[in-house]
Amino acid sequence: MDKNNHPERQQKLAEQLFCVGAAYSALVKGPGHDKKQSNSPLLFNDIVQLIKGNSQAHIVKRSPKIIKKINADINLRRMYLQLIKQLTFAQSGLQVAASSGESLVERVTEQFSIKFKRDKTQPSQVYVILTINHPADHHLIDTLAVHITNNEQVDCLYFPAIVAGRSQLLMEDEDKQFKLLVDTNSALYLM
Amino acid sequence: MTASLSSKVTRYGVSESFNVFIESLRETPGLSDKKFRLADVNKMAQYLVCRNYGKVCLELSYLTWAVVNHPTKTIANAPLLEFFWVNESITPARFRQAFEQPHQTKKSNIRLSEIALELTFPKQVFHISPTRIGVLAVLLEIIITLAPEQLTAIEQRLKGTQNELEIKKLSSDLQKQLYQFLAEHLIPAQQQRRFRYVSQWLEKDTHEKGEVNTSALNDDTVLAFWQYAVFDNTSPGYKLYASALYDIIDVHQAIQESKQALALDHAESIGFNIQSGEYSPDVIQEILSSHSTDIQDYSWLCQEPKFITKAQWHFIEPLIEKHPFSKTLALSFVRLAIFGQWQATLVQAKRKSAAIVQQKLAELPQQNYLQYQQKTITLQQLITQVTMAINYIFYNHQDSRYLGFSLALLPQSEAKKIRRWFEQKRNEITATSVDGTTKNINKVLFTQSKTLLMQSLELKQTLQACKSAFNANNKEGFQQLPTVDALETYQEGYDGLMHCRRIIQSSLGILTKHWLTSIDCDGNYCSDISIFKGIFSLLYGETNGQE
Repeated sequence: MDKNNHPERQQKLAEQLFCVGAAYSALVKGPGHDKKQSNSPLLFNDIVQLIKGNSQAHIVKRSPKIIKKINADINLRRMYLQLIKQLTFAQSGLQVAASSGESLVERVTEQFSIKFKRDKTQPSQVYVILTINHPADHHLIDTLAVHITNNEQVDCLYFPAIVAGRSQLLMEDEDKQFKLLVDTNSALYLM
Repeated sequence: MTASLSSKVTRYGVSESFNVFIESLRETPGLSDKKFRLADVNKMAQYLVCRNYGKVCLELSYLTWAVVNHPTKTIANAPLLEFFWVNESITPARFRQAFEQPHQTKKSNIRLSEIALELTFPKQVFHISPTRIGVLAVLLEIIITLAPEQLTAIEQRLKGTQNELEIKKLSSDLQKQLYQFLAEHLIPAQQQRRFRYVSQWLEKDTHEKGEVNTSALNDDTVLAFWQYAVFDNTSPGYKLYASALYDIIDVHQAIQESKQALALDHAESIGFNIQSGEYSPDVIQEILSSHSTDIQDYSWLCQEPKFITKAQWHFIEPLIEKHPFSKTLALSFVRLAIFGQWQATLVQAKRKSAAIVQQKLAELPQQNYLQYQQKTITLQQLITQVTMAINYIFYNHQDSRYLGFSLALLPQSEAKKIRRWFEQKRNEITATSVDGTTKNINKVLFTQSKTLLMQSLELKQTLQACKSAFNANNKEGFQQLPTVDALETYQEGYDGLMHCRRIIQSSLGILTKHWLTSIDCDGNYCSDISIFKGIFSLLYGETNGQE
């Protein structure tokens, strides 16, 4: 080795170490907490977990934001739609029949059905009743997700685990999610 | 999704969005709790900042080949989605389970041996250790998040192929993808400027002082550097005392490490690439790994369970983070706590009005050195109280580790006695017991320690004090007795607290020597205040400009 070059090379090594050390330490420390909230990117896994209906508190809390991001980005939406089709347990693409005396449309498929029942004392509130004919194991132990898509937007609902073949949610009929759910143009995907 | 990641690069040479991206990897949920282990995310971050991702890309390419071509799947046409995201076969145990069945074709073989997954091709065998799966899963998450179309593309190009060249080509494509990402998000130019500025100053300083040995950095050098750089127009930004302190420490450390590395061997054999004028990523990562325990993050101590409060953590954070310098630069860290804090207040005030700046300058810092010293001593005592509360938790769960924790709280002679008893008993139990599992030894030791507890008044009193410490602690995680499953977290907390306590203690030791009396301490404070106030007045006072 040329000895004259030694200090120069040592300096070069030190410089590389300094730069790498600073970058690594910045990544290990992470961004400040204020920054984290605002521009946290969506990981592929975040979308998969949302679709699977992961019931961990912080992803449930984040889910409206995730849905908003998906609705605002055509690429994310395409990916989301592809994933729900790949991971779906059962789906309902069409309006089947109108229930008697109600303008709310029931969904009945071979695998599951979604029916609506207005609360007698609070007419603006509707019970959304999900029945699964042959539930899978995960439907019995964990929160289950139903994804709703139409041509313009996507959304998802989380139902409690199935008990005696059914599960229900109480929703406001003015709710955006509810409107999408009863929209005849919506497709429903049960995970 | 690449487009949504803005590439504004911060002063550490990494873009804000790169930083948030890595943070998201740490946070993203999985089947239970977080999907990725912290250590795996950090390891991947290390590969990326060292640009040492060639081997890991090759490993991932072979792994994805194995996943795509292994026959046990249930979701049609989506083997990668199933393996990495639905089944999360990304822990060593789940990985082993997924590859339990060997699979053979004419030209290749996928088989799990005791130590690794063996992929046999006509010309070579490739091994993937189950312990690597976590890091590889993090890498795939990065790749797919940046380019989701890769998921099906990888499956399509690897499905049914027996050609290793195709796997190698995939690896090189993945490398290109990472290279492009890093070209936008990891830009060291600004850091290089900082390094050169500080290292040139250090060299000149050593030369002027006529010193031969530059191995030690001291408080005077740090202060002199800041005093010089703060008003130097060519400086890459050292108005803040904190920036000057942190950078001079990091530059000094990098120089020492490079000297050590070169002293061990000649430049060529440790990977100097003459053409590029740089060291190989392997070498850089090896050195970084060797000191990465030094930059281990302890901020979890103020999360849940709350071993210390956030305010307490922020108070000791600089010392812990740069702990190899906590003794040699003890005074510099005191200056950081007192004047760094004051400077932050002045920077804030400057944004409001000149009058508020004047007011803040007249108010002086919130604490003087004596108060700092007192606060540190109190914090040290508080940490001891928390370790005592942890001791009580272990005792209550009939875990013999309480004896080990108690040693640090007992008078030396008694501790010695108990240590001897402990070792003797442990040997006896291991020799005579048929069931030599750790769990069993722990149980027997605990039962036998009750006799010891009756014999030793000191130990009994210590445990009573530990109980009181637990009862007096109302922070999260100490309000009620945690479950037995949580004991490991408390053990880690104990170790973390002891680590911090040792660092605080050694720094305090130096300060006590430095300030033999409170008059010394005040004298030091007064002379420092005139230095800092003079500089701050020039920086933020009426006549001067920006922060």
